[in-house]
Amino acid sequence: MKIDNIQEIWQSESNNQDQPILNQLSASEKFQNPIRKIKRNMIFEFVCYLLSFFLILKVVARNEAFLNEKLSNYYIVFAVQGMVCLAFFYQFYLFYKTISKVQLTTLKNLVIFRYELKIALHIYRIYCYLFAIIALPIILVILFQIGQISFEINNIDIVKWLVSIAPSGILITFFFIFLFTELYLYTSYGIYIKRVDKILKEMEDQVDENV
Amino acid sequence: MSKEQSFLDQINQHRGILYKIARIYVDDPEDRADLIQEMTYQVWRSYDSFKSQSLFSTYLYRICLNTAILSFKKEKRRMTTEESFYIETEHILQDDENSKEIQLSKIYYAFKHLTEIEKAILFQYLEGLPHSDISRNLGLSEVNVRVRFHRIKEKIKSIISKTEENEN
Repeated sequence: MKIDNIQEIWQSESNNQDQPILNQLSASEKFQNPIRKIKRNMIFEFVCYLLSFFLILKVVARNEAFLNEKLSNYYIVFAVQGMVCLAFFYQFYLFYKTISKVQLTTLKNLVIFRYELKIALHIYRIYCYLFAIIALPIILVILFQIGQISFEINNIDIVKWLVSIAPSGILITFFFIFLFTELYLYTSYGIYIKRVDKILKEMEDQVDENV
Repeated sequence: MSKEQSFLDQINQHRGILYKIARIYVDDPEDRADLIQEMTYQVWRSYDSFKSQSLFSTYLYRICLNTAILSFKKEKRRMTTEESFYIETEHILQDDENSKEIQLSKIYYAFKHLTEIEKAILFQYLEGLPHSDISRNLGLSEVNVRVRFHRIKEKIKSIISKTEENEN
């Protein structure tokens, strides 16, 4: 088969045997474009955030460690954290609105999408670490409160114990926060950047235009 | 006639484009139906922006190709190109070896060895689109398309001749 014949063979293929396309003007569940997947992820994250916000608020308020005067301090920290999160979510909302308008039908739109996604990923990264840093002391206080009972039973010096395990404990905690954050960001967003990068790289591939 | 019905009529007139793109980009016959659905949806979504001054088919090429290039799906085990060639040709009888269908299968088999963008360029060339339309649809310069096409032709030539050598 010669290369010049290929076009002829190709164009002779009749489409009469193809099934007519029926009235199914909904998106496919199996094939999804990155924008739809990211938007879905963002809605899921926002719902999770709201649920965890009220859950933590309720759980911590019932914990003995935060009762009485400590509870008001906690509410102040929590309110600050809530405001910081709101500021971040406003940025995510802007990103959501921007990508909703983009259609991946041209190279220009693909570049815009990649640019927006990169910025959003950096904001996400800062948000995740900041959230983790704020959440860490709260979690530690709860754990300390739970652990205190066993310390009293076993007659262990809490201060000595804390000094001996705190540095490694904090390091391990941060390592897991780092691992979880990076893994989550990669699977939720980074994978799309990688895919778009691959296509853009292929499109921008410098060719010798004098050939 | 409602907007939806007029859209479906136009889509069905050109459904061959969607079927061919799906066959180029997806190996699994079941997945092709999903890709066709996704392409139809994307074309429908941007149907309002379609200006009737331009050809519907030109508009269709652009949206469908970009959708196929960028669509993600849950990965199954990928078929090897040899496996997919076998599936494409297994229903064809041996004595029809030089039939048009075999030759078409060889072309589709050759497509599997190309990158996503190369597939889009070759497909549009085979459909008879001029270089200017191909470059506009993919956002590449015309010279760039020409150079790439020259390379694709060489690649296709070698794939098809290797396939034919293996058969002999």
